[in-house]
Amino acid sequence: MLGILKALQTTLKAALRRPVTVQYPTEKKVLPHRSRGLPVLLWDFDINEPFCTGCQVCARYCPVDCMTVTMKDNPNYAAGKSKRKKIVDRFYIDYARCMRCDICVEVCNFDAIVMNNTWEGVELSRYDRQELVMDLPALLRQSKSGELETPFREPMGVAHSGWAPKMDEEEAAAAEAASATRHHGTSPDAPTSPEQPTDPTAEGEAEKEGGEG
Amino acid sequence: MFLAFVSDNPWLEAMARLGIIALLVPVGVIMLTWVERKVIGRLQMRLGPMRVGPYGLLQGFADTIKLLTKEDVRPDTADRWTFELAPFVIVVPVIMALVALPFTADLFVSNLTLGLFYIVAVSGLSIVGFVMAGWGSDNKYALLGAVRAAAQLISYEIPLVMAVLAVAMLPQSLNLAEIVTGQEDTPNIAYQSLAFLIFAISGTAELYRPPFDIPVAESEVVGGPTVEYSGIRWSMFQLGEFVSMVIISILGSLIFLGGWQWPWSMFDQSVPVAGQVVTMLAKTSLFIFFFMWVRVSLPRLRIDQMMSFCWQLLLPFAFLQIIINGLVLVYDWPNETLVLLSGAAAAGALYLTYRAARMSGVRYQPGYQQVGSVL
Repeated sequence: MLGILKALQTTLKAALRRPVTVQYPTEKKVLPHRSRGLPVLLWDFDINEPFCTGCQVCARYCPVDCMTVTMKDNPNYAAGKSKRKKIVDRFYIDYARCMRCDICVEVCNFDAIVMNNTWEGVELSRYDRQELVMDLPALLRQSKSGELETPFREPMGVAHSGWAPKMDEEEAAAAEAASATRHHGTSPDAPTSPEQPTDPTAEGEAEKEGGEG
Repeated sequence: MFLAFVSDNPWLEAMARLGIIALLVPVGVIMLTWVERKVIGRLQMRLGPMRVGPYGLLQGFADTIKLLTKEDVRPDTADRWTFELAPFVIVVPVIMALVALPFTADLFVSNLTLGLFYIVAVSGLSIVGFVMAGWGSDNKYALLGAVRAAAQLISYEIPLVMAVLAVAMLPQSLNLAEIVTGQEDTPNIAYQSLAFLIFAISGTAELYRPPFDIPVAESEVVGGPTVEYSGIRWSMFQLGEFVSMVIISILGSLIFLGGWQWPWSMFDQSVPVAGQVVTMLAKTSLFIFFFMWVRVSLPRLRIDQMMSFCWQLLLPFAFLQIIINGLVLVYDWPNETLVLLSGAAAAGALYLTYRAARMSGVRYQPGYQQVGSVL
């Protein structure tokens, strides 16, 4: 009996609360920073060319073989404006095949490819499957237009390269602190050799470092 | 009591009023489906339909168009005439009951002297429709649902009728308009709280609304007796259900909440028709909100819990209410004693419900036999 009255009271109180519905697609929830959409290429705004040099490492490591990459000589290198000797000529990703495993992002030597953490990376309904094969301009569009302001770049000690866009001091400190808390206390400066076992003492040291870092 | 607004000929007058009802009822039911979805949504912290039309207002019409354009499927081995006539046998008695309901002092199709009796009698015909639907579908689950539906409807018909008759004992009339005028000072809910409780619960059970919806629930018997229906026939079942809900709500507002004239009659004001309509709408909406609120809050009762609740609890207390009313009439006690007596009986009924609910949670120990009585 009392349970019945309690149930009635609960629903009545729920009626007084604000509805939690998000009316997609007119309203959209903010996607988390680490959302893993489909891969897109990054644009180097300093030199006005893509980061990608067409080295094909991502295509070789792709488990579902969804990428096609070709490279060409970089005219900007000849002109002295860029340090990249080669630049990407053609780049196709078949979004229908991509399984978002993130391997291409991990192995890229130039940090040129990144998983799209905006709604464009997950809203992919088309009328024809062929429209899901993205070419170079489509892959660069997000970065060029500035929609991809904060791509999620996992600070990985092994895969980090000297070609990545440099973040200035505050951004680097903020990114380190943020990833330190997210990685449960391990900071990117902690030694990350792959053979290291997760024994509690090492984790404890890393936690201390992460707390300070 | 039959003010002619079309012509003096009573037949034409009746036809005109029937025509108004025939036009208003489907539109009303369609809007009621929208109201239900919105209210249930808000009670569940969500929005309900928002896309079709502004705030989803046209959702009911979209659903109706969809249902009307669906193929009318009939199972090959189904008993053809039973299957096809079942929706009509459900809807026609419901509309017949609507014919005898006065919505205000002057707005009705026909105000019978035996109004209450007629409505209750005619509502009972829908049971046959459900059994026809279940039997004619040639489907085990439909038949199971139909049998349970018949059992539930027949069982809960009795406390409903007893409660309603108990209320009719005081003004000593079955005429609904007279019952309303008899509530000039206080609505009957104050005098007959037990009867109101029984009416509300039996009404919910009669309408197959949760928590009494086991015969028609989707996860129980795959939707119950109406599982093989689609298109217009399905929409007729829904129409029957929603119009029944409106009928029970209007009946409740007339009998218990004071109808179209309380609280205005307390201050001796005579209200114009528009005001009466608004009052009736408000009270009916209270009932309808109550039905939807209960639907969204409570889990389903099992069939044995439901039957024992009816026969072991509601029925004796319905008789008790009749006895109390009889005593008050015979010994000429003032109506205020009814407040005490009926209130005490209602409290007793609630207490026994509490005991019954606690008993069902008692753990069965192996070797002990649990005797199943609440008293």
